[in-house]
Amino acid sequence: MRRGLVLALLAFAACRATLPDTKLAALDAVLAAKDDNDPRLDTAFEGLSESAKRSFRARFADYPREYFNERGTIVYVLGRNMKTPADWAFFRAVVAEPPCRSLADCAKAGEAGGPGDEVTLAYPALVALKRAQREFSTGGSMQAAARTVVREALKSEAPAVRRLAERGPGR
Amino acid sequence: MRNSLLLLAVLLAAPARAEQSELFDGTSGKKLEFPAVTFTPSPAPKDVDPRPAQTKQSGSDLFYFSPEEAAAAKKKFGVAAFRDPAGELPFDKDVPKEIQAQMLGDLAFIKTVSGSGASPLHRQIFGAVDGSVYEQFFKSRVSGVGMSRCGDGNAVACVMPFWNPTKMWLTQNYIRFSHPQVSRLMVVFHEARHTESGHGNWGHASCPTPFLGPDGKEMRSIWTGAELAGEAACDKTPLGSYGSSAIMLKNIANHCETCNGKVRQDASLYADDQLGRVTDAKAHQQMVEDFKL
Repeated sequence: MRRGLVLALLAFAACRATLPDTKLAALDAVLAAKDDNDPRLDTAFEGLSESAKRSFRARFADYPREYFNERGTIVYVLGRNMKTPADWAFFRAVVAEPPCRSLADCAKAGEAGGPGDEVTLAYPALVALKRAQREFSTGGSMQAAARTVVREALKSEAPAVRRLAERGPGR
Repeated sequence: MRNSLLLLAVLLAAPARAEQSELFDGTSGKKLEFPAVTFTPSPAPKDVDPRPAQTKQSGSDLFYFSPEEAAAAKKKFGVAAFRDPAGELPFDKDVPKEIQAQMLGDLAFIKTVSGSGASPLHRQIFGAVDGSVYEQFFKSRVSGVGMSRCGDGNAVACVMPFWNPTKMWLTQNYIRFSHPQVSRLMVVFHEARHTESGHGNWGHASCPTPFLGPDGKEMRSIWTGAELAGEAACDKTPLGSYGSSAIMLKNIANHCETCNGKVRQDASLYADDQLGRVTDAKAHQQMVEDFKL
């Protein structure tokens, strides 16, 4: 009886160690669908656990920097779950990323492009900054933390990030 | 028993996933892979001037055509009437299936847009904030879609009045780069405005000298670092390509009831960026009031 109980508990622990992260799987499915208007972006990622948020931040780091829309979408989803200092620290890090120099390769200067490219190049940072600015426009309770993101954005070498920080709240 | 419980405590304390660094340095082991799309740019139409008087592209910003080219195209082709928007959007045979699918998917999304309000400028240019209105606007102006390099660089699409004033040309960049969907739609609606030969194809105006941003710094091309002052990369009317696409996006941001938060936020981000290219003070102010900023 005792041995059986121990074996059962060990089996439970082993399953827990390999239990799929369902929220991360859902995120990957949304990104793979490539539908920016997917309603799941507003409904499926509410109340994320700290563990889920850590896995989302890791997924963000998995993507090469040139995956602007994917990385920005992850920032958007995390922005709906801002609760802890770690959440805001991550957003500061996103905003502080060095500017991406071209759509094809962030490390290399590129050729002329089209309307809006400047926004795309800085998209994840702009999404993070927008979330920080919303803390002020909605009278949120984490304005001190949000202000650190705005101040980081004011120092950004990406012109689109600096411009948005200049004209929005939280300076 | 005690040893078993201790072992169990250790196992249960172990995290379900390996801990990841809280912060990151922006690097990754994965290498970006581009979709394997190859294409041959569409040849010029047989009856077109093989050496059209093209404006020398400065390479500092996006592809553009001169007022003289627009006038010459109007003289040659006449003022293109708006076509019947019914029916499929014609693609040249050399447009890769992946690009056709992406464009049709993007247009299918815009067709789902629905909202109960619209600003005065939006009503003047488009009508209601409604997908069927946007579909009609696009398909009545764009007679077909072909492939071109659009002057090379990172351009996604262009209209070249001297070749065909109502045709839109796409580049492989339409699917090559990770743009938000709103960004691609902004570009094709910006270009669709350039098909209107009755309005000089809404050619761009020279950016002012100096051309300063809100931070007081000189506006420069993000790709080349060249100053945009003096370049044909601005508009002086809210009704041109920059203005009309910004007005469309801002109204989607403010009024779309079938869009999620990401799409509305993206629309606002790109609209505000485009507003910066409308440099006539009166036109700019008209748009600010129209957006109720």
